[in-house]
Amino acid sequence: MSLRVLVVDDSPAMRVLLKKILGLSGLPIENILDASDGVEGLTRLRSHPINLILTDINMPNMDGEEFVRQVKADKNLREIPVIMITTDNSTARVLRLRQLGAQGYLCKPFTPAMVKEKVLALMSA
Amino acid sequence: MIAEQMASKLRDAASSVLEMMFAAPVLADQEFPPADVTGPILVALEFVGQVKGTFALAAGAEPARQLALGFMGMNTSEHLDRQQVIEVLGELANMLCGHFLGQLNYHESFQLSTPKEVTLESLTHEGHSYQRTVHLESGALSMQVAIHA
Repeated sequence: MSLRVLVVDDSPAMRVLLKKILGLSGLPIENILDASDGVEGLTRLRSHPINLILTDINMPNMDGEEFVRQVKADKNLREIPVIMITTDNSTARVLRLRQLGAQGYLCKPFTPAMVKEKVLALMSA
Repeated sequence: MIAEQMASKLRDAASSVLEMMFAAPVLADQEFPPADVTGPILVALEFVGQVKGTFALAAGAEPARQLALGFMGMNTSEHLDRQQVIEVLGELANMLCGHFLGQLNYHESFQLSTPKEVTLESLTHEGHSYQRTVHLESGALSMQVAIHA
């Protein structure tokens, strides 16, 4: 399966890094789009055929939790797997991400290998 | 004792984050303040959770540029403008702060504000503050965490 990925993060540097990691990962990447917050992310999702989302949590306008809530509430988008990227791996946060419907989470700092492993695990699930 | 433990956690956070995501191992560390820094860039963010406070990060212009290049996977000869360097330093502050708070074993989740460039004068000194400077191949990087409540 070819991956059409949406990266949502308010940090331009992190978007560049994630796109670079995914591009060099050896994963079957067809396309990588990006967005700087949840509002822009939803717009991208409604106009492009995305099949994997990587999203940050703390973002202006619409944060990652609200973004995922809206994705999972939309019958056209809810099947898209979501990996949430966080600096907070507290039990409370992880539980909340699961309740939101995120299929996985990646805790910063991470290595390229950790990103690939997370995506592969999701693809084979 | 608490100050020593906090400083140690700051150093551990720096080691993990800088080695994993910036290819910049920590060579040594010392108490704050750092050695003379030319044209420092200072970024800070606020955190709210079981405790709240401010996390600040300072680096000289050249070490900051080298860190940004490392983070973006760019060559040392490539150009980055000041705004791009500040964005990467802000991302580094976000990760360092998150890693530091994660070591405090709090059960509640926390929120981090978007990192911003600040001036030394604007940093708050209320509450308890802990500092550490780490030395990288490209220069020094200083961290300060102020816990307000």
